[in-house]
Amino acid sequence: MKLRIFLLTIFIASSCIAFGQVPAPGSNITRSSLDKFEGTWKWTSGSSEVIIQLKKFHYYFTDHQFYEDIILGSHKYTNNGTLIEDYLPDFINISQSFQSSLFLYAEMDGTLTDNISGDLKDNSKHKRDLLQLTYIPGSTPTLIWHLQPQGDAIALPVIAGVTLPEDLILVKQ
Amino acid sequence: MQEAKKPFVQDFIKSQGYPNWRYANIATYKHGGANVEGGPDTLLSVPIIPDSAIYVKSILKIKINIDILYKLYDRSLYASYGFDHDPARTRPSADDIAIQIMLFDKEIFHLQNFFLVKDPRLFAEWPDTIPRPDPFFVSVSKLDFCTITTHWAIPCWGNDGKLTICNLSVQSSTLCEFDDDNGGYGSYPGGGSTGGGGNSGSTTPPDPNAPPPNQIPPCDGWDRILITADGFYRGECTPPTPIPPVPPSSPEDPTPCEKAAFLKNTSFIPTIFSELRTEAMATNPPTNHESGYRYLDIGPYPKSVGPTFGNNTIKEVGCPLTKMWGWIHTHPGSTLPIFSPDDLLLAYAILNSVTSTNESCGDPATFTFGVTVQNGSTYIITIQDIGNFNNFIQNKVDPVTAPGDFGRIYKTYVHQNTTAAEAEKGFLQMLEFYNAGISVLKANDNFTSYSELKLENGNTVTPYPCN
Repeated sequence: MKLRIFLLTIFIASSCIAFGQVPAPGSNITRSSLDKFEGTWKWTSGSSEVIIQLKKFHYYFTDHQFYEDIILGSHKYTNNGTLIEDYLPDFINISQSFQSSLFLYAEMDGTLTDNISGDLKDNSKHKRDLLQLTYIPGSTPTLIWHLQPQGDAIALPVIAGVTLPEDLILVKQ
Repeated sequence: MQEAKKPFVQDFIKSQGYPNWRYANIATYKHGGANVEGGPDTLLSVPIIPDSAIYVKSILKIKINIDILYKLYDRSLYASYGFDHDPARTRPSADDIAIQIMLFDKEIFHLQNFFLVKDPRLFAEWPDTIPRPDPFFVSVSKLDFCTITTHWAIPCWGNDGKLTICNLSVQSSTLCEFDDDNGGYGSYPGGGSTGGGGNSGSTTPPDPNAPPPNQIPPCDGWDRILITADGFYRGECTPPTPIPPVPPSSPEDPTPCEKAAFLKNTSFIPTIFSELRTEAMATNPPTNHESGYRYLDIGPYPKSVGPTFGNNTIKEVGCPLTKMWGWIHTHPGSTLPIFSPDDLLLAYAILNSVTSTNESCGDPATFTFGVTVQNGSTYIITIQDIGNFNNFIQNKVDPVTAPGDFGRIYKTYVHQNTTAAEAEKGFLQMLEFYNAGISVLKANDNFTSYSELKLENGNTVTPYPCN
């Protein structure tokens, strides 16, 4: 019984960290809510296509010395038959030190379990864009994709706009 | 014919020198003076250079409308124009004469752009907040026809081994093309100038025993400076002097409050800050875009209005024509209640950009970067340690050079739904953790004073009012 209470305490402590609070060094945050995002997702429109591959990763935040489950991934974008970006070959090599093109995470306080957000690498514009994904359950789950710049004001060498489409619905493959 | 009767041109050359038409300026403008009904005036500014000399002795202003009028502004008579520093003045002052002569001297003779000010009445409007250098130099730059900036400066050697400007302050109050409503203008043909500094010519025959004319200018008001290769400057009327050493910059010099003094003492700042705050605080309806102003010490650039949220047409805040003193923008609605990581990147980009004239776009010693947020608070960051700041951005924030986890970490310090107090604390904790080289100031309600926000014991934010 004491062991159960101890484990429960650990679980609560590790999953209910409020935003505005940096996890203490040594924290180990697991998030089962991220499991459903794993896999390959695809949007197609004519000869345009976005494919993303996502995996849950137990990431170590080196500066602050804590672990947290996040989503890392890669994307490929073809526009009207022209390949614009392809990070999918990186996917199998994703590691702590090699993050490929997508770095996504849940809210720190554990709410909004169907939402993740974070950065999409936009190398051609020398920046990262803000990507928000919302999971829609169903017989064929989908992800609502919304992409936007991180801020309104930029200076060179950063280039305005985003390279990939702003709003999409991706289908689980 | 008339020249034969009254040899005006010959006398003029003898007493003043030759006009250098290659460097003459021409302006067409309409003023509210005597010729307002006669259409725009054309005003020529022609440098006059004595024979064999290497300096500009005077400036001949020729005004062409219905009549042709001229007036001569003689270098040696600058003081006769008075020392009026009112930006709204309509008549040229001694400063205006000096600046125009300096500009022509610099352009025509390819001089170093430093002039040692010897007459303390010249360029006397030194700001109270910055110690006036001794010796006191100015340099002049013409950005376009009507924008002349005067840098109050000392010359020094930059890290790249090139001559540069240190301890500068910028003053740009000069008349575009001065025209004192015909006062003192003479007409041609038929007469000479009679105004202050005017010269009606002379018909005195040349003295064959007279010494050759001076090749260097009179030096009572200011002295042209020549920089020697061994680190000395040599004035044409002054013995060689070592270039003043530049004190090494340190994190404490100048302080955040000293940088904020510019905001406090500059009249246009409260106006643009208030305007942005009103936008950021709007609730019915809430403002759905960010806005901002780039500002120089002399005034703001036109307002930058960002796209409606969700629209990806971003407003670019590029480096303007000349050095920025800062940038202020809004975080309205439900956006972050303090600076975002992208704001820090923008500050970094500005400080690491150069203007079209290859001048640093922002100087950490003076640069301020602000945000006004939805609860009405206005925050300013200053860069107190440029090395730490650059390391922080490059190793933690920059999307190209840093790992991708800073966005996640930042959200643990500052979240868009936190209170203002929590946001201030989280932001300061983040800066302290990363030793980011940044300090934070907060403005009072009417932007007349600033307080430096300091984190104490890692957990308490204490405002320290700037004196």
